[in-house]
Amino acid sequence: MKTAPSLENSVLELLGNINRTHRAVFDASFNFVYCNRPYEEMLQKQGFQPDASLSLFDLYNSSAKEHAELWLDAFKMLHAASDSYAFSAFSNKGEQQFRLDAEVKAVYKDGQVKAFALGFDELTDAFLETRFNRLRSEFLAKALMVCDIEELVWVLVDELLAKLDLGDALILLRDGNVLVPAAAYGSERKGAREVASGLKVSFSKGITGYVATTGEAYMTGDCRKDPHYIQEHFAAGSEVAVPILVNGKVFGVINCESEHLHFFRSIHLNLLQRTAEVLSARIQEVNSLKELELLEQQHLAILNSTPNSFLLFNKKLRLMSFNTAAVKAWRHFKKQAIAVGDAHHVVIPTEFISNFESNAARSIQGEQAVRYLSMDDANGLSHRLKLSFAPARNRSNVIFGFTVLVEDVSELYQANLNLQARNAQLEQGNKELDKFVYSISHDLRAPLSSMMGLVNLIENAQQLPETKIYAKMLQDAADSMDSYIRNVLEYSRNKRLEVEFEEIDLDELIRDMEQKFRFIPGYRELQFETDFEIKTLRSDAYRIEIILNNLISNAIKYRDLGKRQSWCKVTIKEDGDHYLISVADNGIGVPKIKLGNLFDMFFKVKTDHPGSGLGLYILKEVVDNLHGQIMVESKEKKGSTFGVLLPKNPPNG
Amino acid sequence: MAKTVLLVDDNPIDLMINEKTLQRYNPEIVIYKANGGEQALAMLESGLCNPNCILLDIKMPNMNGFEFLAALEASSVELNFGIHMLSSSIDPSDLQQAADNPVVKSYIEKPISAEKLAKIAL
Repeated sequence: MKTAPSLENSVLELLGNINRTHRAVFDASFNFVYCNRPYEEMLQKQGFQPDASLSLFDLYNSSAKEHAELWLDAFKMLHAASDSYAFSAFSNKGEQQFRLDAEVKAVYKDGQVKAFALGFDELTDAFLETRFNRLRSEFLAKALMVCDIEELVWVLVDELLAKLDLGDALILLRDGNVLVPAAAYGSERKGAREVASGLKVSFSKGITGYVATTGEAYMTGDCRKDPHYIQEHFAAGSEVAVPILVNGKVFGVINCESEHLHFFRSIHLNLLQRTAEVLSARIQEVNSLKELELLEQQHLAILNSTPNSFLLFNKKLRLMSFNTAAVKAWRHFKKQAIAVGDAHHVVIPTEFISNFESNAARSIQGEQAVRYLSMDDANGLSHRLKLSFAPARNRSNVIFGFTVLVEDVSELYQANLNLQARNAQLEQGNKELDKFVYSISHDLRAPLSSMMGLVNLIENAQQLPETKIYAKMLQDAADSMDSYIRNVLEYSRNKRLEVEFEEIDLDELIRDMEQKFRFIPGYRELQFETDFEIKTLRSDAYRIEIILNNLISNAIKYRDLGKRQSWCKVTIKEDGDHYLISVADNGIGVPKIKLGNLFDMFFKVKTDHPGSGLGLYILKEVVDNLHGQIMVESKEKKGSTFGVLLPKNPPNG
Repeated sequence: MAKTVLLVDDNPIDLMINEKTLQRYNPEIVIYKANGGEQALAMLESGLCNPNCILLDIKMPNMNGFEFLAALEASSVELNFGIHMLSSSIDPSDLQQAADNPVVKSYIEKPISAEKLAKIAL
């Protein structure tokens, strides 16, 4: 070789770009300008000496015809396409079986080819092995960025399969019981990212089907003789297919076909199987990443769906994670944006820090704790918070921090307080009821026992006058009992009956009531007077009757016998949005010290009166029911005036 | 020796019934009547009345039977007489309170009768 010194820079550059075991440069007439040592040795073995006197045409017209034809065809491609062309070549014909991975380039000057260059590698097992290892690393580096399996198979095709002399490659992925073409190289490919035939392959059909079903690789040198082969697009010469196994299950199949018979060697099968393994490993990673992502999504969905705040702290009491409710809560309560890494004293309200620290320490020791905290939000509303501390453990059950669940239990707390208050009320009510029942039974038994005692006396009485006195007393006791029972009934009805408003004709009401008063002893001696400024009154008739009945019968009962003329005057008038009912008398009056207890249950001004002690108590209950007020003016021995002020439109009217 | 009994009751009819029943039971009994706890206490403190026995009503306004007992114990009156509660109350708490009081000898349910008086050996 004496060519080196005459090589121009552009040709040198051309050579430098061809990183191949065998390299050569030709002039425009295809004469050898340069040939490197391995190629020279190869040609010498075939009886040629590559120098400027040897052209490719010389080879073409010799035993090396097939070899020369390869390059001449390639240079034609170069002309048509661009200044560079790469290809793989395989020949099974004749004695000179060869496999090449080659490229050709050209240098132009003034629109004319100045030089051609070729470079090629013999696709030996060792070469393929080395290349596979390099490509695998490159693929893995790229695959790291790809988390979508559809994209991943394309990357695999482009980065690995296309560069491994594997003919037409097709990757099919399993979808239920069919295999769906996912990526292709060679004649099966259409456009950048499209498989020429989108045909689904039945799981059990053909060689791919066989591989998919058995999970075993399969290679055939001559498809025509193979029982598993089914012709699809063109008559394939040879075929190799390997399963992509993910977690022991067939995930898909990589299938390579060649129009040549016996194209595939064991190295191809081996490389293909290793390719499938690489892919499978990445798919598993992607799947587990996806599962992890899905799991994370699910956990986040759970965590973020709760209105309760969830916070995770590490052992150094720094915030590690939290849900969206926590973000909202801190914004709402502290007007603060919490962030991962925040120290606990930043996040936790000052007054709760020491409590928090002691509970955190216990949680880190594996204990759980629940604490309650009252806190005002940013609007000054008080909230009751329930804090649940629990240790946070990793998969190995080692505690790495603790969680705090914050629940706003204000409603529950308030409901509980209300319940307690209600319960206390009910208990009080029950006690009162008990007391009431015993009082009533006593007060009913009191006149009854008097009556029994009087009957006893009558039985043994000697004379009629004495008997008559007892009979009179008996009558009084019976009256007292009767009025008492009526009062109790009124009391209960007032408690039980809803307030019902109607138009009450006052004259009619008083006329009806007088019919009853007539039988009260003393009524006839009383001068009864009414002064109604209004004819009708809109209120609860039953309750108005109780009010009038109570006040008027008191005026009768407690008239002053020492006075020449007893009187009672009932006045009813309007006063703005109120009615005023007043009953005045010149009766015995109420001593000043007794006025305060006048409306107490069972209170009697004078115990020797036969009343029940319930009348004015019931009056007060009734007036309360109508949202009214009672006023009393009384002077002992002068008389009393009871005024009842009733709103025209009480809330329950 | 004739016995002296103090009747304490706010109800005049009951006072009368008790008086008549006692008189019939034993005409020799000297009877004093008090129209309530305050009056009874005043009678005892003044020495106006030195009873062998008091028949005491429970439900009385101003000063009820038990309040009277408390006032009596706090007073200078020497407790050299028996006290029997006499009431129409059937309230268990009243009965219990009576039973718990060491001064009270018995609890008699109204109305009073010769049989009941005989029972307490008046």
